[in-house]
Amino acid sequence: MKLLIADDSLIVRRAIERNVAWAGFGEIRFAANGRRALEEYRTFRPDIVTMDITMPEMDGLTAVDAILREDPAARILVVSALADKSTAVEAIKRGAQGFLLKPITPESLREAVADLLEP
Amino acid sequence: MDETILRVFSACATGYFASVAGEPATVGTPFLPVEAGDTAPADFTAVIGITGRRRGVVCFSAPRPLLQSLLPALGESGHGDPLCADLAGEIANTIAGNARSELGAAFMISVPVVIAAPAAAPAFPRDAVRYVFPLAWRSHRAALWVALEQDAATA
Repeated sequence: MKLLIADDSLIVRRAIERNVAWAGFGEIRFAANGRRALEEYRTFRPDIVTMDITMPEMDGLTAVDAILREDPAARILVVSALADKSTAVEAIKRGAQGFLLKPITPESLREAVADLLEP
Repeated sequence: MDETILRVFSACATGYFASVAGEPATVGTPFLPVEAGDTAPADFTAVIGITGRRRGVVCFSAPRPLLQSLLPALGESGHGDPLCADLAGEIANTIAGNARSELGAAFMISVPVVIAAPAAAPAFPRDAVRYVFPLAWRSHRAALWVALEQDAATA
């Protein structure tokens, strides 16, 4: 299994990587903005993507749109600090499979990733 | 600036530290800055631009020791300046983003810009109401500055 982590914070990228070790991803790649996440998705074809929203160059929701246009089966977990309900609803409406509010905890991340891994 | 703003930013700042480190920050009574020293920047200052119904900035300014003390709670063993800057930006982003729970999606936030060792506080919008939220976590002191113009919908 492969995981792509998109977040403009190095600390958050590494925290997510550490806290999904239990899932046994064989390869994990990283992107610091939405444009890079889209590029990585095209070549890497991960099983799961975690996607921040507020990022430079291309925001996460735009990247979600772009990825799902190319691969409607993409499984994307949006991980964002934007706590209004409409943002979570919008992410799901665009095709993300889950929404996780920052600050993340190991438990909340585990639960969200486990949900995405279910067949 | 209305009471909601004061309450939500205090709660979000407290909550960030409680969630990440298991120890909430103590947020003192917000006050209007009068002297330059009231917004004297610490080692790292992260600035979030606000657009939408309100325009302005949200800034988190913290000394290096606070950030270095918090890094292990996030799983980091290093404590260099790039990590401190990254953390300051993420704290500002999380507090401002979490504030949308009450301020709504029209409270639009930018990506953080982090300034290391700034000589002065960032320029606040001229017509903005400015508030200083003094913050203490463990033995460290930091500050959240919120400067927002009046809500365009009620102006």
